[in-house]
Amino acid sequence: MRKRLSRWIWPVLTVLAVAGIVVGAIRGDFEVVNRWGHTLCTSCIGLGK
Amino acid sequence: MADRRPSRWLYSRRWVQLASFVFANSFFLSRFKGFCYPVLNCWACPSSNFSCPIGALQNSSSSARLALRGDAPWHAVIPVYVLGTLLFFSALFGRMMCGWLCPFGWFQDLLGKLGPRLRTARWARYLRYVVLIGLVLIIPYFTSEAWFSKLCPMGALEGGIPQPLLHPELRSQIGLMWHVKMVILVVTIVAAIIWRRPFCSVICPLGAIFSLAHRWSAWRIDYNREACTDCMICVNACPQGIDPRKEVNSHACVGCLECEKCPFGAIRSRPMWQRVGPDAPDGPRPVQDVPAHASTQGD
Repeated sequence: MRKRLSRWIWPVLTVLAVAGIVVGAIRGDFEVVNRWGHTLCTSCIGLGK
Repeated sequence: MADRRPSRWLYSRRWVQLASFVFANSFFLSRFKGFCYPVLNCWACPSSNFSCPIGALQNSSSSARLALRGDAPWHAVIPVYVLGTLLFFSALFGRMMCGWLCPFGWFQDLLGKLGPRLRTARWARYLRYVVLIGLVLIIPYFTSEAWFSKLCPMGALEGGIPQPLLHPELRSQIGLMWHVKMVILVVTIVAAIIWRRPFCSVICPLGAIFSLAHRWSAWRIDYNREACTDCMICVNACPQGIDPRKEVNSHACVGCLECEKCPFGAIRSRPMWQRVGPDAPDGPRPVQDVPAHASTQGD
């Protein structure tokens, strides 16, 4: 029973993931991430205090 | 009788890891920063194409508090795009990105060849979740600073070293945190020589996210007890130091499929939609002809 249920978990997760990507892209998250990506991350480099 | 020899493409992992590193850091593709590459590849690297999902999650956490103060609705601050991207890859492949695509995993694999390849303690594997919740979600929320990135050794390697070399004007901003990052990088390198993939096992918050769905992902690893001869080849081959006979598909598995090189065909991976059973190609098989190269020696 548990094995049968687990067989259906990944399609549900995939649908949720695609929904999240689509909703996020419509909301403008793509542009936000794009802007972050093009900003030099001083935390990553270790600059500052 | 079905062919028990491991598939040839399993031996191409090193090349796939190299190709992934080049792909993630090909400067000519630098217009893809809106996409999160599902591995730990620093977006501060001068040649990085994609965004770091952990960096994006931290930025989301750190900006969430300010947005909520500005009367933004709670659902507006949930990074559904980043989480959706991570969930998409983990639902299909589990943690296989760690084993096949991650440049830092590849770096640790190479360093691991130099040392005794000790196993990390089982309890330590749960620290990744503490790092994820603490350094990636909670602390950035309250401090508005990306604290995991401040300490990340991959950032030190790909951003902290090349950026000040390429941009002399940045050198004046080097302070205590840069030196702390370098010490963490050195410690990680030494640890990777001693233990098997210590960063992936103990620290990596991205691996922790992928681990959550690994057991239920579309790509599974099956262990056939009947075909197993307890030769320990899979146990010694595992870069994470787990025992595939007991912990197949565990949250510590990086899906590298090294264990699938089992000469007895006891371990096989398959997508979930592929049939499994006595009649299927990967079904239980009796143990017969033992290959001459099968070794019982540990490393």
